[in-house]
Amino acid sequence: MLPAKFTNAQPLVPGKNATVFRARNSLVGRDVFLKVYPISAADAGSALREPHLLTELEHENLARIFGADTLEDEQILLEMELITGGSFQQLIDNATATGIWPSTHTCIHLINDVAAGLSHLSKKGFVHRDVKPANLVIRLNGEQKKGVVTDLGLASKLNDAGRAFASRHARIYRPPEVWAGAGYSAKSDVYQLGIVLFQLLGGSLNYDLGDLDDDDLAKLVQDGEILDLSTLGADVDTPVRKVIWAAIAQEDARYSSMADFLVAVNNAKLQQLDWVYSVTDEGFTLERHSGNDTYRVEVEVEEKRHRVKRSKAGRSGVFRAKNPVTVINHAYIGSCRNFRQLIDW
Amino acid sequence: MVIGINSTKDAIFIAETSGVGVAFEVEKITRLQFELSGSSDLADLLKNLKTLLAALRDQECDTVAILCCSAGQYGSSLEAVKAEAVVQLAAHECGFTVVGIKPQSLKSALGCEKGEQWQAKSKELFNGEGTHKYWTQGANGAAAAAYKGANK
Repeated sequence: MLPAKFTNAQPLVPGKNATVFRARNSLVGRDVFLKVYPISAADAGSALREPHLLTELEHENLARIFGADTLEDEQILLEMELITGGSFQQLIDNATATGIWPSTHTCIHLINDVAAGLSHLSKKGFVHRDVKPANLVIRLNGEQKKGVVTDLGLASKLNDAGRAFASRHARIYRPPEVWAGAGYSAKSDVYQLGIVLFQLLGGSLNYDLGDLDDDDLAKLVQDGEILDLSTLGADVDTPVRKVIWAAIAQEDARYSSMADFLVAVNNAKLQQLDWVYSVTDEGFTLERHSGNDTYRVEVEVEEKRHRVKRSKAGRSGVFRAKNPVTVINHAYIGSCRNFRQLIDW
Repeated sequence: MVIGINSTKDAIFIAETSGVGVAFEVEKITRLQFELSGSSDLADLLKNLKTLLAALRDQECDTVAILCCSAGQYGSSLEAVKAEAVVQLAAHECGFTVVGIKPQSLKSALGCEKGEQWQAKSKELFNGEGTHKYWTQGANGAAAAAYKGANK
């Protein structure tokens, strides 16, 4: 039973451990997000971890908390900011369903925002441990979109050696160092955010791999075979691919901090044209706007070649790639030097 | 520990340093690129800088030495001047003591000989052995500003 000040409560899709609502706090006249979850009798303190963290770690890219209450039936209620732009997971699901992906700069911008929030978490000595598209949401501010980190329920304080152990988070995002028994470090969030960047840019993460037993999944992760970079969108240029590769590398070869990852993402963005990548029946299209001009590239992918048609500001032409590629997938075409030269005009 | 910062037309160089005098060392150089073409670009730059500087701020690291842009016919670009202002704001908001370093003062601060440029001296002093892979003119300025800031 929610306190009387909350009116118009509408249940939302529940999380694993919590019931969630959208409601109006009629005392202050504000729409809010309510999260209700049980207080464990064995470990009452853990129920307060998330509200304490959110209060301590105030940052524009972390979900805001307005208050917490205990309910009669041994449950805790968090009153939080209502973020209406949907989650990164919804963005990915929508793009997968329609074949139209958000523009490259939009994706990178969202990741940059989230990296700022996680860097703040890291500075305070915590590791999130559960960075995945479902836990990252989009705050709308007029036409602006901001990436925001939510669900700090599994965040943990790093010990003196900079490690944290044990978590129940999604196995498929679990970094190699955790499979190796070394626990999480500040770099573990970088690994997980690298996977999210890959997914946002059209990369396909096979969720069925989560059904593998521990040994098989651990081997895939430790061998660096969890992601197939060939599934990335053709719009993604080499600097951004390198950032993803370095983010999901083994711990010692990874970016040393979330701040370093943020710098790399920012610098790569400036070398990346802002394409919208769409999958079509014949292949794919890339489109971008610059001033009043629209640049459009249509690619027909055949078994052993691809045919490229490009247009700009009313002028168009069809170009056949000089060296038809024999391995056909969008990311491969996108990474070919002659294709990049063709579209960089 | 002092952080030295130098803004150029398309990037901000951040030198993390330690020690003073002969013990002064450049630990790391970070190059944050930027483009100031749209209204949101300044806000993005401010946010990125605040994230970077906040990650470095602690009890031992409380000073940012900023190499000031120069005026005149051969002075700094407009983008560099704007970026310097954003750096000052970010450093202030992160709680750093901000020290402005004038480029004209670096010759004597670094101990340049007659006719020697401070940029060359900075490279010789702070990356003489090529420890830092991608050392550029921007890095020269950031390191030199930190050196002077540390020895003030």
